[in-house]
Amino acid sequence: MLQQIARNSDDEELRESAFNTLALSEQARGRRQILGALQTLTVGGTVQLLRTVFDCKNKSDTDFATVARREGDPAKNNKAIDEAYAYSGDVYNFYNEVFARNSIDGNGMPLNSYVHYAVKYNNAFWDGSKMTYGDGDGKIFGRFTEAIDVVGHELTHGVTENTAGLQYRGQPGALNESMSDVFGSLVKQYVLRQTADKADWLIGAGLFTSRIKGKALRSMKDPGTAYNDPLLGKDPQPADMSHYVSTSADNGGVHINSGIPNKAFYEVAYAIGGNAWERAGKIWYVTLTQKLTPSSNFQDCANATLEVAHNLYGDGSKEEKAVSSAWAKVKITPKLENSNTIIKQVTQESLY
Amino acid sequence: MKVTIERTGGFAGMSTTFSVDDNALNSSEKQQLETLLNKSKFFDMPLKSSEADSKGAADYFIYRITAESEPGKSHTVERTDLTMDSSLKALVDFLESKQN
Repeated sequence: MLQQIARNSDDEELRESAFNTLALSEQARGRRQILGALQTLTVGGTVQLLRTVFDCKNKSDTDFATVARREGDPAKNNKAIDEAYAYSGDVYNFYNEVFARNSIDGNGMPLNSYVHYAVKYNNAFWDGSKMTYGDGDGKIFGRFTEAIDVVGHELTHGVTENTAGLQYRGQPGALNESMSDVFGSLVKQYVLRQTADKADWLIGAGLFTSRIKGKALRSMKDPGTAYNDPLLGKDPQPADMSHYVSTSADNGGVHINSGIPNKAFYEVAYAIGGNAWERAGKIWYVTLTQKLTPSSNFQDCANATLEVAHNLYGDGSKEEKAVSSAWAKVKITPKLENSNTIIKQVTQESLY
Repeated sequence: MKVTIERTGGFAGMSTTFSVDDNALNSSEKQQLETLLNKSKFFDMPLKSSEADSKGAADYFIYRITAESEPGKSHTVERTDLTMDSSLKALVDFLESKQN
């Protein structure tokens, strides 16, 4: 309205006054944006959320992507852009609020997302420093930014890369994949305020089109039951170690055998009860960031989680027992090797 | 001549196979396929990329492409979304487009 007056009014004074008001509003908006951006760059504060979303415009060379949305910019009314932006903020906040972690590297690393990658690309991936999302082909998959746990999963690969460094093949690779599913699911549960018994424990729910007979890509609660479709086949995930899949595909089946540690985590969370990110999540986070190494296998993870639970919650505690039983359910017997190790504080409460 | 791509990995971890037998192609398509194979220097490519896989990279697709250089003699190349160059990508896109 002010613009119309500034342009069209016959009254010179009125035009000038409308123009000045417009200019002041733009300045105020600009100042707020700049202040907002500065705030996020301040070192010393614990919140350094710096997101940029790039539009690949259906090319598969990310070098030619253009900036679509910067930190503090309003919504663009483009679903992939706005979802990548919003969900990466949710993931940042989850790690910051629950584990006092400042971004992927613990040091305010910028979160860069690339959307509309390639044509009908049925995938999303982490390349070591950024996230890339396809739009799906519309027959099997919709866009990959639609599910918050996908964003959580991808960003967690960055956390793993900066901490345990689990190699992306064989058992360490399946463990790497599982960590991404675990924290991807926890982000979703945290945002939805769901307790362990209310969560769906599904990964990638909502990505399939309505044509596909499947509720999600994976189920942490019941590995192997997420989908069964004439075109895609049946969910190949095993639910215990005796069904470990030996294959050369998929870097040794990292997305397949992740079902085993996924199930173990679900069982720990379910047995402890309440919000899964609080105790089960804490045990897993400490394990990932302080105990595991690039070549850790499932047995190493079982042993480490038991040690962590023992040291955080005590000998014979409910949490320690939950961890033992959970791994037993997937046919791995954890061994307590270091019963008195020091664990660095990880939660916000523990800072006070 | 048969060209087959086995694609694995990816966020969903699914295995998909795309293949084309050039007997089923018309002459223009046959020409296209030959051009794509030549442009990418497919038959001279080593099995694996010399680039190390990006540290920390995950959920990328892995492509295992096999083509016959002459009857009974096949050549295989394995690349990922991160190590595949644009000419090989053009070959993959062409093969995918010929699937029904």
